[in-house]
Amino acid sequence: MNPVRIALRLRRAWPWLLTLNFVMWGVFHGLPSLFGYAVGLLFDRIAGVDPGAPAAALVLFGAVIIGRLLFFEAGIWAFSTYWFSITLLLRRNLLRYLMEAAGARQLPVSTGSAVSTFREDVDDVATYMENLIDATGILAFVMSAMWVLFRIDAQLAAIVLIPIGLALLLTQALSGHIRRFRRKMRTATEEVTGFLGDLFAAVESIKAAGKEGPMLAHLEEVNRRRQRAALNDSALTELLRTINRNMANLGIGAILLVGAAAIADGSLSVGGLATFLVYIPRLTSYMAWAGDMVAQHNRTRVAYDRITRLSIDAGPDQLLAVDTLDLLGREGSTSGAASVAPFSSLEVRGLTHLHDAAGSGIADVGFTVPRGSFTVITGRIGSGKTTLLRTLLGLLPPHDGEVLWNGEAVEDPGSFLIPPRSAYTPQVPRLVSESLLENITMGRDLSSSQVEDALHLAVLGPDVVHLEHGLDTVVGSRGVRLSGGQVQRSAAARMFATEAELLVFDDLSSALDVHTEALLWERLRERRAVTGLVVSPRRPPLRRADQVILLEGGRVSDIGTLDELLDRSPGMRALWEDEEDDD
Amino acid sequence: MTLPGERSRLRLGLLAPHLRPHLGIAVASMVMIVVTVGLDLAGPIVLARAIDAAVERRSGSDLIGIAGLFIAVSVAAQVLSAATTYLGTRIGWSVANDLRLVAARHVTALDLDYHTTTNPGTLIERVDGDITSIAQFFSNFAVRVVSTVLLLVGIVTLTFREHPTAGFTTLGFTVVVGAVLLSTRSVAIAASAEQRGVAARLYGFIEERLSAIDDIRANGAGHLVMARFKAVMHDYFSKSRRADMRRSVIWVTTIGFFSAGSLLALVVGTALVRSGAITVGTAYLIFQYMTKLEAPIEEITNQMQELQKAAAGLGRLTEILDITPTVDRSGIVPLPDGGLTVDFDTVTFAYDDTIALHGIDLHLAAGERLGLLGRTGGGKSTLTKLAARFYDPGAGSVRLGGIDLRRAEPSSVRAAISFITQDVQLFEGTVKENITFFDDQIADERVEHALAEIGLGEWAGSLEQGIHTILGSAGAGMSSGEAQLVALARAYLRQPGLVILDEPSSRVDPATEALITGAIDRLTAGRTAIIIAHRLDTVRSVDKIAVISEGRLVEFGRRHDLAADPSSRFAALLAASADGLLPDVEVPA
Repeated sequence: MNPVRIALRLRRAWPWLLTLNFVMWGVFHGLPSLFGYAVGLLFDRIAGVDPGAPAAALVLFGAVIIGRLLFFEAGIWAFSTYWFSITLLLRRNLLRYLMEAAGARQLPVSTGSAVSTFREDVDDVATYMENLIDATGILAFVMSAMWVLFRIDAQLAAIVLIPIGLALLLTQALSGHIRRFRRKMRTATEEVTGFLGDLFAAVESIKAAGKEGPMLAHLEEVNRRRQRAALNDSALTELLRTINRNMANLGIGAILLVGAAAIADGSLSVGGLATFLVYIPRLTSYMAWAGDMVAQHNRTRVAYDRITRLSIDAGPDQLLAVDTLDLLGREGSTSGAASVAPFSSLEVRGLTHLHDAAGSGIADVGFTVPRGSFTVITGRIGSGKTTLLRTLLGLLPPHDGEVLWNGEAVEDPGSFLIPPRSAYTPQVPRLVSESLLENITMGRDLSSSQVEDALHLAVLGPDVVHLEHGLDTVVGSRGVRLSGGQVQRSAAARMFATEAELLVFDDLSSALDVHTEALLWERLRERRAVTGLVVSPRRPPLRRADQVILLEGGRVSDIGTLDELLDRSPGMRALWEDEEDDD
Repeated sequence: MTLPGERSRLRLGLLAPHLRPHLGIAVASMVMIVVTVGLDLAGPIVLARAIDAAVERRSGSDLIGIAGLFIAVSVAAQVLSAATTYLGTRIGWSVANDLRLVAARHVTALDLDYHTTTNPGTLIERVDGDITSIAQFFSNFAVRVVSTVLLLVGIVTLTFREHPTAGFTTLGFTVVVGAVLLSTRSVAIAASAEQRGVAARLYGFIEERLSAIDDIRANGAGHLVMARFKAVMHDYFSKSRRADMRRSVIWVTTIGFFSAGSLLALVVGTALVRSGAITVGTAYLIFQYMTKLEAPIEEITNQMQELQKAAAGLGRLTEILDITPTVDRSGIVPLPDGGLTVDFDTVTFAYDDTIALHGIDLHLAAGERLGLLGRTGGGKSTLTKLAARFYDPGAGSVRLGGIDLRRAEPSSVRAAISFITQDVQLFEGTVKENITFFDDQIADERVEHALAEIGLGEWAGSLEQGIHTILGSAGAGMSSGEAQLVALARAYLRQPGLVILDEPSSRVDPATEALITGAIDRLTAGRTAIIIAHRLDTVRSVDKIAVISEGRLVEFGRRHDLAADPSSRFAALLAASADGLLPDVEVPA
């Protein structure tokens, strides 16, 4: 999207604050045009060309200094307020879209680079607004400086413009390359940090295999690629800077050359010359600034593209939304979900998701889960069990088929199959760095009996007792490390706490020992109200199942009770036989 | 700023060997810097002559000469300055890459203890972030500080030459402003630290929620996350703005002082011209030089801040480089080829003060397979790590093939052992790169052969680009069972004399499990093996069983004998096992 259109949309957020910024920075950047005028006046007066007292020129100079400082301090407040507001707005919009928008939302990049989009790319887009604010003041300076110069000597003033134009043209011509070099540099950097992460995470295996040598050789290789990218980037940047500055020096040289005659015959006074000399460096630096702004224009485009890519399918209406009223503030109310019609059945028809690369897809899957039943999806590795659950829940986009709730087609399973209808525990659940209680309630207002109940069902009670601060213990990556089983049972408790009617588990067995898992199923089974949809290869849940869905190669191979399947399906028999059973 | 002491000398010594190859370029850069500064100082002098010419209304040809001189001088200065910056950057990157490699090599050589207590993120920050800031600082520092100091000295000297009053003005100004800026710097540092803190919290919040996106969305907690985010944003906003306002004091001071400096130069110039001491052109020169002071003084104060950052980074890096691996690598006796005997002779081992193993005596003949059982934390994995010589025992000795590991040649130990961990780490790279650890000396056929032998031929064949298919760093598209299979293929490729294997304790689906069982059988056939076993399948195929409890070997013998003895712990474990897995609990004998 064109950055100008981005700016036009963002303009509508905090219009008064933005206007205030334009005024403050317009004056701050514009005022120095009086410096050149004052210096010209002073030199004419000390050289005796102008009979007035030099003191007046000095007073003017001093007054401009003080005025500028006042506007600066106020400008900082205005800008700081605006900058943090607008960057937070963009971050909120993106996060809100990822968390709440309809449809499937899988991050297309690693979490690390997603965070860098939240961080740097958002800053890049906001910098464009900053540039626009500065541009007004700079334009004010350039206009008034040029006006003063034209009044001194129109011909010379016109000459000053030539190198400025040239520099801008060159910058434009190089901007495509700048963008490409930056991108390469960034990719190369990600390659290095990614590899370092892999290297340190796998150090035990590497040491054990004595493969430090080839691993470090590979590091050297990615290092070299990054160095090449960085040097190309640096060379181009330096080239651009040199061109810009030299154009300014050429400007000054040209004034001296062309103005020689005017100086000799006195039509260009010493003050006039001094004014030219004072203005030209500042005009130059603004020229370089304008060059940067052109580059920023491109950077903004790239940054916005990355933001869009991260969101997968959000448009400007979502990403550049300007509903600022409620942006900052205390935690909003977290009222419970609306009441919904009682659950009677969930039906899946022709559900298809084509996986890319090595992953397994599913094709034309159909089954029905009646209220109060316990359904187990089973199958060999790569048969599509997890893909089925995730597509069903709208976490992956379905390529065909539909999901029906109480007989009615669900338009967007992602935003429909949530509490109080359904809740989900993924195969590898994630907790966040908050208290265990907050991880379980997810911020909902729950009574302590609701929490106790969830803990009991998840067989988490005894673990909580052993934590130093009980439910208030901070867990997650920046808190206490829970064992894999504890994380999974916390996630189960989180799911039970939603009091959803349909509970969807993806293979609880991967981190729970058999006895704990059996206890969990038993407690769950005692509740007639819940409906379970579970992926598991284990015998205990299979035995408890009202229906077993056997997946083979992403398709439903058979559906029935365990006994029926064992009776008629060789695939099921093979699975069952492979499964050791010694209890 | 603390002055360099013993430690700092050590730190800078760290850089010396990496800087040495660039000495020639560095010297050339220095020469270029001197010339650049000279040209930079010459520019205003040329312009001052132009002003004088204008006052005296000299003929045009004089001015044309001056103009030509000015263009030549300034173009040369710019080109040289760009070239030096480029060269500096080049040296910086080269040094950074060298250092990164040194640090990465050092870190990988450190004890496993270090790695279990330090997370990879922190290490990336050290090896990438800190080193980049060190190298960039030094590459720019040389150029910037040298040229800044030269410029300051040049300006003060040249103004003194014009008139003592002018000289004292520029000198006094430099000293006062430098002192003021340096003293206000701490305000900026405190403000920046606070801002970094709130930013870390903001991005930490975002990062964790993005990792948990499935959990959040499928449990309908998106709006709850956003409600919480509001409070985080509020905190970020108010603290960040406060930090900005605190910093603005410095900006205002800086701008105020420099503007006042220009005014001062104009006032002094005016007075001196009026008294007839200097020409109008010289008054312009003083004014110009005063304006020129701004950039270098700001640069120096900025660089002081960068210096602190780089020094802190260098300090952190030195700390890491100062850690030495405890395992000594001076052994020279190579281990024999083929299946190895394993002997633990009264081995005792402690982590710091905690004794992990007490007087372990354990012996395996070549080709024997040992199943190691016992509760988590009982000492099983410590025992395997001693066998792989990640550590040396505190007392007693560990011998492989009859050779004390302390006397064994380290690379032959690595070559003789395959150590397969429970959690297999995969790299962002192809299947082949994952199996060979990026060793491109190994031919595709050997990798394919190893995969086929281990029973993974079909799986590899099903991949779109075979063994050149890219795996994500989290092993995208692979289950933990499949990752374990990749690790078994890694081990098989190396044809070790001793296999040490920590089985995954969690369940994988039956088909993968069958593949794993087959692969372990084929890998350990004819080899000595120590297996921390969780699966009954595995336990049933080993020759000997050892049960470790609280650091002691409480049971050791032939599997058949122990299984047949109902009073053995092993028999009790078998009885308590369920669903194909051994219980991970203490079972009384």
